[in-house]
Amino acid sequence: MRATPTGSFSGGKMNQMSPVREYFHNIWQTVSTILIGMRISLKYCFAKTVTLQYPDVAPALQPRYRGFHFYEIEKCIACDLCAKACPVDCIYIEKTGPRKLDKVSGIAAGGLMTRYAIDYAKCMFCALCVDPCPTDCIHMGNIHDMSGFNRESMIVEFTELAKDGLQTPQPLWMTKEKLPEWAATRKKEWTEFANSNDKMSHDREARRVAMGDALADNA
Amino acid sequence: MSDVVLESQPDVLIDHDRVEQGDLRTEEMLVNMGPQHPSTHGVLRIVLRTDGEMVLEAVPHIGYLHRCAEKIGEAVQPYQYIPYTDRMDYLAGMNNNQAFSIAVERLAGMEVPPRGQALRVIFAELNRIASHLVSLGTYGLDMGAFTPFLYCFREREMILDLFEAACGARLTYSYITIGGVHDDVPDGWIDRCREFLDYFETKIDDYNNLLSFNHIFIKRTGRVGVISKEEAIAFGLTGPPLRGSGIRFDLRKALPYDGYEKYDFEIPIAEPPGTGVIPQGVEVGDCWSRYFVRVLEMTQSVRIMRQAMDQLPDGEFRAKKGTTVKLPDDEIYVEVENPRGQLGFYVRGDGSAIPYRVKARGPSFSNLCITQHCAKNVLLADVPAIIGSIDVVMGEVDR
Repeated sequence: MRATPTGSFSGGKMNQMSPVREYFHNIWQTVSTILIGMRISLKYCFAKTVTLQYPDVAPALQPRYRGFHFYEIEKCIACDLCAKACPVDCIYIEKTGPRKLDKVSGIAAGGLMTRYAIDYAKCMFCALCVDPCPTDCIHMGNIHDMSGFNRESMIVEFTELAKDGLQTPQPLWMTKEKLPEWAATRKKEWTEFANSNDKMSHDREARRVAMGDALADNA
Repeated sequence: MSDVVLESQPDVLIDHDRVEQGDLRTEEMLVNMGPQHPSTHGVLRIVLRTDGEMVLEAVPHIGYLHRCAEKIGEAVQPYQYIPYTDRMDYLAGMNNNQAFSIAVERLAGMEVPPRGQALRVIFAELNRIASHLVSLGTYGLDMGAFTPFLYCFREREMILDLFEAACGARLTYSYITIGGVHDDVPDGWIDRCREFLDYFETKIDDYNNLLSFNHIFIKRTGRVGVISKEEAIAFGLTGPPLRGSGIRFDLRKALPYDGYEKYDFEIPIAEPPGTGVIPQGVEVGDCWSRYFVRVLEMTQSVRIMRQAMDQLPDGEFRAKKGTTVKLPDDEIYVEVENPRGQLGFYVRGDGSAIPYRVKARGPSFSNLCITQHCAKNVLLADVPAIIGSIDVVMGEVDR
């Protein structure tokens, strides 16, 4: 079977043209159509730029934006409805006894909320947990940028946050003034870890020696 | 590999054509295109059997994005499965939500209120425009045109802002759910949407002048990867690849759902060169036709949306019993028109609230099958042109 390109280089009207004429026709067509396109681009050279200089400029989020949860512990009756509605089972609730909402003050009383945590490594921000809540205590917030260094840090303990009077997790940039101090401690931790004697799997040399020993034993 | 001539076996196969032409024989080479190649639109791996610049065979290998989406459907309730359908065809989340919702509603015998239906049509068409914009932009990018991509994405950002205002997410919407839509649109949203459509209609000419009628683009895509009508039907193509081969078939007209029969619109198909604005150097069924069908479809989507917004009825937007539905011991298969073709959902109930079986028929998967057939004996640079014109989304191929 002989291979020929199916995408032909000329066709239709151009079949009747002489090769020389076709060559110049192609050049003319290319230049003229590119000029049409360039005119459109030129128009936008003088228009206002639409690019947002993130992260220097924060994006304007819509009011319904589905970001990290906003949780009001005093209203929560720990009924588990949000955890049951969650498709990925990322909400963990623990309590000491039944809680009940006081209609007048709007504060739940009874047992103690020992844990309300959301694993954001699993959460897909579908907002299905918001719909069934009978006391309207969980909402989707407007924080969208948060990061962690390991999987454990992706689990946000809302009960711990509530002790500090917070209802939503705080990303690092919100606590910017503490950043240098935090970075210094982290660097110190890493240096200590790297210089320590029990480096475990991080010690390549020791691993190589151990592997050599194992190979020698087998041989 | 039958026509490889080995020196030690001189009597096997001699390609007389080539010998006569004095062509230099080069060794055939297997080349992996992808799964991280920028022009394969996701994690698609294509194994190319090449002879110099010629591609003798292109075999797509799939499965790099498999997430057991169908199996998850057997473990969660239908309303919990809606966020998973977003992640199948991640460029057209609304249409996927709609397909699964309609399947469950028809199985459970649920009625969607008129306002819910009209809102669904508006959002599905808006998402169709957004999806086609990505398709247009990245296709230009594959062909070496960077500018249209930026313009397409600028308009897409505006659509995503509209989606964010209505449902709070920019990609994984979960807006269209069982029984209607999740929320009513916020105040002033319809006016914002009308404003956008007025602005957007003028931009379609820009895309045409920048990309569609550009001579280099026509040379790269015209008469490349031609799929005949018979082949299109035999391979089960749907959506723009089918209509790009000149077959006027669209489920919105053929089997209307969600009140599409109330709106007046046309189904654009590929036309031979010379009719209307179609330039010389292309033919029905080639890459350019498939591309241009998408441009024409965007105009029709704008038309449908305008009518739907004018006729938008008041009242409920979601059926009363929306979330937990009991599925009868019955089965159903529903297909709707996705931007990429016909997306089908098969749902089997067993009397409980959790389906016994969920199966999705992805249009990208069926459309991708033709790659092996039409990317045969083409130039290496034509392979991205063919794949880009079919417009596959790997999240939907692998599910």
